[in-house]
Amino acid sequence: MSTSFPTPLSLALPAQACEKGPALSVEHELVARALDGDGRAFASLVEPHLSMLYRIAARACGSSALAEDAVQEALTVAYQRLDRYQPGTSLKAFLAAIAVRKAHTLLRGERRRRVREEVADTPEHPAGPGELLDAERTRARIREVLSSLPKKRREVAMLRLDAGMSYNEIAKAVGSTEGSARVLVHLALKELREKLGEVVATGEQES
Amino acid sequence: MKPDRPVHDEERELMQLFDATADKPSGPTLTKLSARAADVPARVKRRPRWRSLLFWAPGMAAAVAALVFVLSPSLKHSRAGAVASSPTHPALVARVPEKLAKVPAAPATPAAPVATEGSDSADLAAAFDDSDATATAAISLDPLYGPSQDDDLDAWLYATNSVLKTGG
Repeated sequence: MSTSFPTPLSLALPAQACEKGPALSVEHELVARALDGDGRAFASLVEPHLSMLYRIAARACGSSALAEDAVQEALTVAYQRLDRYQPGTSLKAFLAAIAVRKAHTLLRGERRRRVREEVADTPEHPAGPGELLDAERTRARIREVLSSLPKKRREVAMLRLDAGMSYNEIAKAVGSTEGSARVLVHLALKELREKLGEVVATGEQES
Repeated sequence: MKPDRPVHDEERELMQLFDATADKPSGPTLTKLSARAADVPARVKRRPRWRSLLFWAPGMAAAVAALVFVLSPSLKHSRAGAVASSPTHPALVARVPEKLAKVPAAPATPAAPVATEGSDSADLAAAFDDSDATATAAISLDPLYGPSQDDDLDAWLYATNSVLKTGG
């Protein structure tokens, strides 16, 4: 059951359920089946959001291998809390909220690692082709700035810029009102822009 | 990833930077993640919520009981103090001995200086200088400039909205 490869939504569901049409009832059924232990149903639920989860995780930890593990951990948490999700509300916001909290832990680890590296005075990355090195430096700088933001600002910044979420979805993800989410996003982006000024300017020149 | 709302130029620049530096999963990676997602329900046994309640409830109850036990003497003490400071409380009036009741009241504290003609709003601050610290704190304008913590944003927005709605 669980080790089988996830099938597309149309195959995973009975034909009648697909013909009924309403996405809400389909999602409701998938959630119910996932809660009963159906791995394919759970995979069908989360599949559309895997790219977003991976992007947030990779942003936070800076390594593809670690990002895959982080996504898996986020999915585990999501499954454990799936009974709290109400079908019809934003599953993207539900998953993204878990992902950014996981990212918070990863970024804290990143900050500790950076302190260790500064103490050891070792180069962060081996020398490589110039462009790759520059891109990696930019990513590292973004991670550094993100890890220096207050927790809520970091969360909304990642939800806005990496997950591409609307204010309404961000509000649901962080458990706040839309007005607060707007203010938080504004403050977070302002701080990001101030701290990433030179990187943004470089990116503009290159583009 | 594009949000479903138009964004400002500054936000667009940041968005472009984040898009350019984002790690996008390859096809095989996505396939691997999907397979792992399908494995999750078999690996993870979800605990019913009432079981976690069962775990936490006794501890929480004990903690609350201990807190109440510790705080109750001080609460009683402060309540008694509040009652004693209230001159109109009937129970207290009944208990006051007659001799004490006949003692003339202490002279009233001098009233705050009355603003003279010509004194302007600038003198208002000087008038508050004579009062105690609580009066000064009462006119602090800091809350009008927004909350000091991000977590307080909701409460602050609600308060400002309600004030604006009532026209206060």
